[in-house]
Amino acid sequence: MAIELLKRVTVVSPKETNKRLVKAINNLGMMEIIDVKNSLEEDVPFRSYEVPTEEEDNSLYKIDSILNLMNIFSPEQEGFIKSLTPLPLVTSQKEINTVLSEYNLEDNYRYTSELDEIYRRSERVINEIENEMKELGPIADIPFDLAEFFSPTRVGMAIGYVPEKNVIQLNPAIEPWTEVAWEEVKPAVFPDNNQKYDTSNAAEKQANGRVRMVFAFLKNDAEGVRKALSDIGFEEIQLPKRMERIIDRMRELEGDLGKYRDQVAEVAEKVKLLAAGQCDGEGRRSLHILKAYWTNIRNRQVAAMKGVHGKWVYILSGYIRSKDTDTFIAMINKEFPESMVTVEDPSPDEDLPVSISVPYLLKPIQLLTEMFGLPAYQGFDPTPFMQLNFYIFFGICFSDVGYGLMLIITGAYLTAKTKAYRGVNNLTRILLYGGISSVIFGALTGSWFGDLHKPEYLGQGNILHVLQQKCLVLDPMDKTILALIIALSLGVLNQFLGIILKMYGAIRNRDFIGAFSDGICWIVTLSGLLMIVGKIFGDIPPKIFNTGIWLFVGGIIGLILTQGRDLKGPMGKLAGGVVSLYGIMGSYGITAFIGDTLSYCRLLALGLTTSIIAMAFNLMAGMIRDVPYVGMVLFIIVLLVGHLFNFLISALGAFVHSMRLIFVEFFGRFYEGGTRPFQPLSFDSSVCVMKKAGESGE
Amino acid sequence: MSPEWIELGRGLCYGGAGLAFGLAGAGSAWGIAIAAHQCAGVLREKPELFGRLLVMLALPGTQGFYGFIAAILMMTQTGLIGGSVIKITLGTGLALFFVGLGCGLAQFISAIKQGEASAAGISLIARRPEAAGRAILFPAFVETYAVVALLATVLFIVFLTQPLALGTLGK
Repeated sequence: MAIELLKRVTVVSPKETNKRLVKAINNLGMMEIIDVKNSLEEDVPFRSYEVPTEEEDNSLYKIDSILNLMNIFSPEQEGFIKSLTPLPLVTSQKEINTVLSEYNLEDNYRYTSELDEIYRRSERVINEIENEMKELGPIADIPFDLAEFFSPTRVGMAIGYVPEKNVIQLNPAIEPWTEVAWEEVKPAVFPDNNQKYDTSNAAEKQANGRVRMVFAFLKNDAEGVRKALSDIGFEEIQLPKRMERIIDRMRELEGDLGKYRDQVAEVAEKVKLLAAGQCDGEGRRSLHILKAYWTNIRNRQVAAMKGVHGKWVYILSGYIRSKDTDTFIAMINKEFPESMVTVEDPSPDEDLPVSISVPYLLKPIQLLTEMFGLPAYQGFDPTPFMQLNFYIFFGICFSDVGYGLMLIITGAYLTAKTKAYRGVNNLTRILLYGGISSVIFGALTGSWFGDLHKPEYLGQGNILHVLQQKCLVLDPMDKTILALIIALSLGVLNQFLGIILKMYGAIRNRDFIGAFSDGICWIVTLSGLLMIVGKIFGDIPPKIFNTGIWLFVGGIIGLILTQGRDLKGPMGKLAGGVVSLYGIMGSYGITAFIGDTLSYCRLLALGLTTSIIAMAFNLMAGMIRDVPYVGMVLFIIVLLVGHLFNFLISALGAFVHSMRLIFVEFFGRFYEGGTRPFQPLSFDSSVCVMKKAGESGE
Repeated sequence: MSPEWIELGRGLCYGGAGLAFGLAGAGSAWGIAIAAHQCAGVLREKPELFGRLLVMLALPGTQGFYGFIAAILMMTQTGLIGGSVIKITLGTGLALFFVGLGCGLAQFISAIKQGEASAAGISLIARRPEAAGRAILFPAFVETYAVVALLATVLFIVFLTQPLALGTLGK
């Protein structure tokens, strides 16, 4: 129940066995291979081992191309559970062999490349058409043929908007208008158009007191005319250089758009068929298995390159779990009798990965440790120390007997269904145990689907009401302050557990001053503070209060003298000690402790929220029960839908906030994760795992 | 408790309770939305970080609970829920109104700012997933002041309504 001991293992084998050796290690799945070059002196005569990976890279590229196209038209759904923990495919050697023999990667890649090409070309054209239609839309109602506008050789034309108030200035008797012709361009009405095109721009301008007009003038006079137009506030419309009516161009574009969209739809249909698998061994699953297969081979090649070779020998080095040593050596001796294996303890300055091992019953919570980040190899695994508190927090937040039973049933069903998936199985067991905790706390606080046990809902003397009365210890709605104090007391206990674990970590590392300063001094100070606060809020005996003052003062003196121990100079040490009391220098400090403790009030808030929302649904259902004929049916429907909704929302809230109390308030006291996990070279990954021979599931 | 008990002082007190949970809840929703935008961006590129980001996303939700606790305390301490009904003078009601308002404002602003701090932490996790533990610290510091506000609110409510109220627990 701890961080597993690792051994540094080095294998020296004949040079020609290198590929076979790496393959055997890969099949065994026990050794994480590291770069040997980093641990060799510079002048040793060993060279890096070069292995080409073109074939693997090429296959993986093709597989990814097909998968990417599938994801465009038939995206893989990624549920909430998959987001929390890997949900790998479980395959077998037999299935891999079948896929390798039956799936024609080359043909499928060629086929999907063609589809991809059609799709991308169509998308590009669709984009261009849509952009052009967007430009033409506002001027689609121009009635004339553009050929008439652009063809005259000696006459220039301009179309645009003139402010209505300035139209009066267009006097044919005054220069330069004597040589200019103009007329208003009314919007054309196309019988088949039905306002399909966006002419809002034109309509808006018209509405803003602007008139659309076309002007004709000799090209020689263009400069003068354009200046005069500018003077009357003329705003020109740039027409596209085409020789037809804009509406005709729009219709042509629409036809093209439909054609290209049909092409995309056709591609989508074909890709969906491909993703679903037209026949066995053809679908997305086969691709994932192929990907896992080629990735594994590539990983093997990369691992082989981490070794070095001389003229005769090949050297490979890495880590194995201490418990696997005998198995590993036996395999090497059997398969490679001419090889030599050395096993030694890793040196303290090595950057070691971490592997955690906990008993089956405690395993679910390991999921949270992995989510936050693994402990350092020299540290300790926090998983065993957050079993009870996590389930208690979850149980209080979700405290309802009915919902707890629902969660137990759901959790038990999913646990039975997901035995092959270790990560998901852990999550479902968290739900199962959390459900048990919810039933316990729900019974203690008297919440059975909220207040559904009441006689007005289920009649006098119903079994739920009898059970509720028998089990009820504290109704938080009735004694809220007491419930709040209990929630905060749990917070205090959890904080103290965190400090004790900090001490434990320091003692493990033989840092006895740290254990005293960061552990005992804080425990003494905070115990004193609690007694003083107790006096402010309630009647506590003067003896306890006085003891509290002594503890608080003594603890503070201890903290001031020791917290700045890493700083230089007596004044620096003293100032560091004083500042650390507030809590600037880290997650420790009086304000931090008060804040973190108060944060546990969410236990009461969430517990109350679960019950109150349930009560609200009961009330709504009760109100409609008296409706003639359908009342009882509506009563049941509202109860089912309402409670299911509350169950889902409250379960999510309980899980997230219990997790938060662990990650922020509890881990903040003693734990810093972030070490890389131990990853032995094997086929298994977060995407795909190999079913072991004789594996029943767990 | 029947509605005829609601005198002006009591009405002001419940107005303060409404502001406390209303502003706090609104701030939390806003803060979570800020963090959620950042989360969505990160998850588009790195879906495997969902588990770690879930807590960062939930961090600004705390203030809503603090406002809720303040409101519940006002209700219980004045006898609206459980306990014994006490007289609330106009002065006490006014004081409680502003206590609720102060609490609500502190929670509202700190929740939004915590949402921004969470978003910064989410960016850090996106670049360096192993720093998840440290990234949680930034928003947690912002929360300190929401806690201080809640603490002051609890003290005010308890001593404005029933000095040594906690001494009579369970009686």
